[in-house]
Amino acid sequence: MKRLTIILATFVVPVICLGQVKKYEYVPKVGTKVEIKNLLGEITLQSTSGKAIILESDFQMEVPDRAKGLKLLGSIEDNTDIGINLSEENGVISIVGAVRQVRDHKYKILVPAGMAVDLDFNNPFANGELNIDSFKGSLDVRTLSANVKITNSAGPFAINSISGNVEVVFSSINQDASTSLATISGLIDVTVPSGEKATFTINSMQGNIFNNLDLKSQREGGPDSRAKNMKVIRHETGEFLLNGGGQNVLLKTITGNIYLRKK
Amino acid sequence: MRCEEVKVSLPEYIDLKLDQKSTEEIGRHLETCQSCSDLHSELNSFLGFTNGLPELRPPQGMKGEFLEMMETEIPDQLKRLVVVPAWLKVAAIITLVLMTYSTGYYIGSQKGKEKQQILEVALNQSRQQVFLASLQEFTGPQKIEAVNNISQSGQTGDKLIDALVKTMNTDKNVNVRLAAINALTGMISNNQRVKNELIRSLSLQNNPLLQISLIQVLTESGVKEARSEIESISRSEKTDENVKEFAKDMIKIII
Repeated sequence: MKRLTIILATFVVPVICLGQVKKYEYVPKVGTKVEIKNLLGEITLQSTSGKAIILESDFQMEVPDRAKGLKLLGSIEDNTDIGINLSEENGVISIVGAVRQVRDHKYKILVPAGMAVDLDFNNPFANGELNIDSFKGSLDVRTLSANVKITNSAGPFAINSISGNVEVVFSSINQDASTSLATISGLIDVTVPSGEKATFTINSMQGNIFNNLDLKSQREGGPDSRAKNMKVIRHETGEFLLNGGGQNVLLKTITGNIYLRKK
Repeated sequence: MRCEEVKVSLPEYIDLKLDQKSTEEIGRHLETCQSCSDLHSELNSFLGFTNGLPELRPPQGMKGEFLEMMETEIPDQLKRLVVVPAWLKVAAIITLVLMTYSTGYYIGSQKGKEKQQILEVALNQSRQQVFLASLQEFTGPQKIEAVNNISQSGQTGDKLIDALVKTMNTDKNVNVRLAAINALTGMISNNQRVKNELIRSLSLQNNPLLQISLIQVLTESGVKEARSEIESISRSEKTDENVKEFAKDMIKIII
């Protein structure tokens, strides 16, 4: 019995404490837009049917004994107890990483459906990926090298990265506003339900474009007669219609490949 | 003038609807305040698009169809109004009179005045909050949509080019700038001003994706005047390696 207690105290309890997820809720006053900055750990973003913004994290701040009674110099206040400063001003809810240690932790952010989100991950110290799932709203994302993975969402999106990959599995294509996915050296991988309407502008300067969607080229002059019965693996820059065309979707990369898949 | 007041008045300032005194005060504030100046540039650029959007005209025959529909609908509406019971009308009038009297009495008293002032301040603050929220709620995709709409309208006026150039050079969102470059590219043929602005923009952009996009557009469109600027970028120490390599390759294409 004594041995069991020692094992529990030494191994199990610390593991439970470390894995503990803390939660913070905030109901916006008038805000319709969320801005996320300096939160450099792995982020999962989702929409929720409720009215509150919910933040969840395994964040634990280890404060040295010597620092008791002292405050971090130059740091903004962690008013959520999970390393984040949350504030609302001029209709914008700001979610800002308050301490450096946020990059070592995971964050799950749930925002009310329909709320626009601007996520700035354009930082060399960003650590981890961005996962966006079942998101209902307008989304702006900037990253330096982090990959962006979006699933079960309709957009519209404005995603920009220097070397990160951009993967999007559309649930449908939002027809209210344009979508733009751009990366310099990352790849772009897009999956679209085959019945959706869209007008794709596709441009990869040095990469290849692979596709199994039924795209119709906007280019004048019709198909190349020499290419009859041949499978197209690369298109030049141009506009392509899916099911007669619809909302504009720009896919642009300089050196990466572009993949267009049927869902 | 405080920043909050300036920000709330910016739409009227841009539309030249303010009196001379307010216009001068805001103008002086914008010269010294970077935050308000940035918002002014962004809003000016965006409102430029919305003003430039083509006017929507109803299809022919719509007016006739509408009047015809009214003629068939109005008698039903009137019948519905007649069935309201008389006692309900009397009750509504009595309630209205009592509310008007009690409100007047309440507002007339000193206590009521103080409360009214507090409520007015709170209301103004809420209005301001809601207005500022609406100013900032233009998302990247919404701006891209505005740029795409304007480029598809086929207009090429000076004001429109001004707005697109400003967006290309100053918008905070790279995807929006990219959309503006694409829109201007559609106007490049036989338009020397658009060519010049695209060349000038090469020296203003820092993002490698935008620099490469500009170089691509200018070389593919055969703009020979861009050669020296592209060479300058390819030699600059500050230039990203990907851009340098691409610029060197593209210089070979411009003869």
